[in-house]
Amino acid sequence: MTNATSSEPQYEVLWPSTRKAVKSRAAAPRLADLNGKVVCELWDILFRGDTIYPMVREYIRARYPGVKFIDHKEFGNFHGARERDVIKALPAKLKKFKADAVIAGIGA
Amino acid sequence: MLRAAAVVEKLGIPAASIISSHFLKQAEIVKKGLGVPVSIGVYPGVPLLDSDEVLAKKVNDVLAPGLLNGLVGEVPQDAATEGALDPAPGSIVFRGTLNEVQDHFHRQMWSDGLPVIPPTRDAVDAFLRYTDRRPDDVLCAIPQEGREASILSIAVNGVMSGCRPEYMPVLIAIIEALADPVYRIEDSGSTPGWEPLVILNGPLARELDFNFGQGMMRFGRQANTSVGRFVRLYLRNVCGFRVPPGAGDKGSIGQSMLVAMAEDEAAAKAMGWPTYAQDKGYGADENVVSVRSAISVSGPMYTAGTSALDHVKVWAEMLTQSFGYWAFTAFKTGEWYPLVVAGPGVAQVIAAEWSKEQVRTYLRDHIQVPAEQAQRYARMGSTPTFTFEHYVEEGMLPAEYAASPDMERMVKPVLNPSFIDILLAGDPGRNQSRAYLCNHIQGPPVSKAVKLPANWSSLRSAARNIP
Repeated sequence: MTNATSSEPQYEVLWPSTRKAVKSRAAAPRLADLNGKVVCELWDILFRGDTIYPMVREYIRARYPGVKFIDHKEFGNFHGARERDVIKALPAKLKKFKADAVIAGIGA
Repeated sequence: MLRAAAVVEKLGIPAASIISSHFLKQAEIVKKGLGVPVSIGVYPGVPLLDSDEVLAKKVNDVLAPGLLNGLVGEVPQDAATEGALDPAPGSIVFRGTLNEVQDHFHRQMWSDGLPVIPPTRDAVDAFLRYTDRRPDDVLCAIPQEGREASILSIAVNGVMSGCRPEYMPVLIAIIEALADPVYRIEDSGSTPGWEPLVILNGPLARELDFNFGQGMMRFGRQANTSVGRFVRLYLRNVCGFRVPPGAGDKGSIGQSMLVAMAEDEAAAKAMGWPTYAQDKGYGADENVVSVRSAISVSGPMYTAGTSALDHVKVWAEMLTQSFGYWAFTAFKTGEWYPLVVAGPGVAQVIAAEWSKEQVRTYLRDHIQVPAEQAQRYARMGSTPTFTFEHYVEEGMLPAEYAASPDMERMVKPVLNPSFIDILLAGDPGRNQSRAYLCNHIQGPPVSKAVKLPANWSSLRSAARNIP
């Protein structure tokens, strides 16, 4: 735009955004080995997860034969009309299945 | 799925999320509001466009290794500077001429592409006088960046949008409505690209000079236009929904901001129909802000005749044609909220015979789409596993939706007549109406009362008049 001249008014303007209200915390520790561990699958019933999840299972099982998977149907669709209810019930269900890790998808 | 992954991480359980590569920039923005770092496995490209062979290769070569690394690799970390470099609220962030202010705001992505009114301290203070709340009052932590929805931030963005100070009570009510968990503002950046629609009811609409007559949805009246612009600026500057070169707003094509709407309440009263706000449970003289998403707008609905059916029959046909392909979202969620903006002259003919309830019931019964079309389009858009049987089993739909295997059968996307709203506005001198559709559970109708400051009357009498 044009260069300023001495006769132009100057404006001191305020920040239009606001500070973060969410304090960040550390992520959970990662696992050293998936053998003997329980991996729970969360699926939003979108974007070919019915094809993708079995492939991911196969890939991980090939490297950790002792891994156990819990199917997404045990948890419900965490995206959509019942998202909040499904999320609310998640801690108890993960505890029930003795979850060691979770795979959540699919954002596309 | 990042929100679910964050819940899991906070339980002390590692999670890895599947994200398509084209969504990584949005994921970075969403992560800022989660309060915990998350691991991501990337699917390169668009899964719905890949052959089975290509999909398998991408899963095995890229996605699955990424997910595995997210569970057994290094603990994910936030950027060390996240939030640390933010200015203090209310601080001066720039000093310059009008053009220099515009350039700075464009560079910072604090603008919608149009020039903004510089939010100087004096201009912001003028807005703050129109509320009894303190500038540092915070309505909530608002998604998606998890920032404070403060009274000050509402005033600053109100100034920038070209609002008048006396709109401030309306602006606060808008943010209260958008921040209501029912509205799901966190979904404002979803790919369908829906847009918030604001409706003002009550005597304030006339007092603040909102246009509810001819041309009411055009840019051109300060109140309607600047309030509509305020919503879009707030979504960018506080919530973090920005189109490229920003991120966070993943509307694939999107649509432009909508100017705010108001109702021709005198016409409604004259024909004995309740107003939109009364339908939501408010009194006839209450000032009420309502918000709702608009995923799609019908064409102009011209109708003629002297009986109610002459008009409502065409409405049902045109709503079906305009919104029929989007009906699959109703079957997935159980929620589908059309709004008919009825021309006052047309409404007068209908109201002579039918109540609003009768209109709603007729529309619920006559908006119908072929089951095959809904299933086919759902599978194309996002949900390859879509079947009516699945959603009946889930309890989302009544059993009748899966009672027949005939895919040529007609199915009704409006599950309850109360999901249909009717508002009187537009040109009283023409026989035209229009319809708007919410994006199912994303942005359903939410209303909030407008709270005027205790000294409203004295402030108004001292205010400069609208030219």
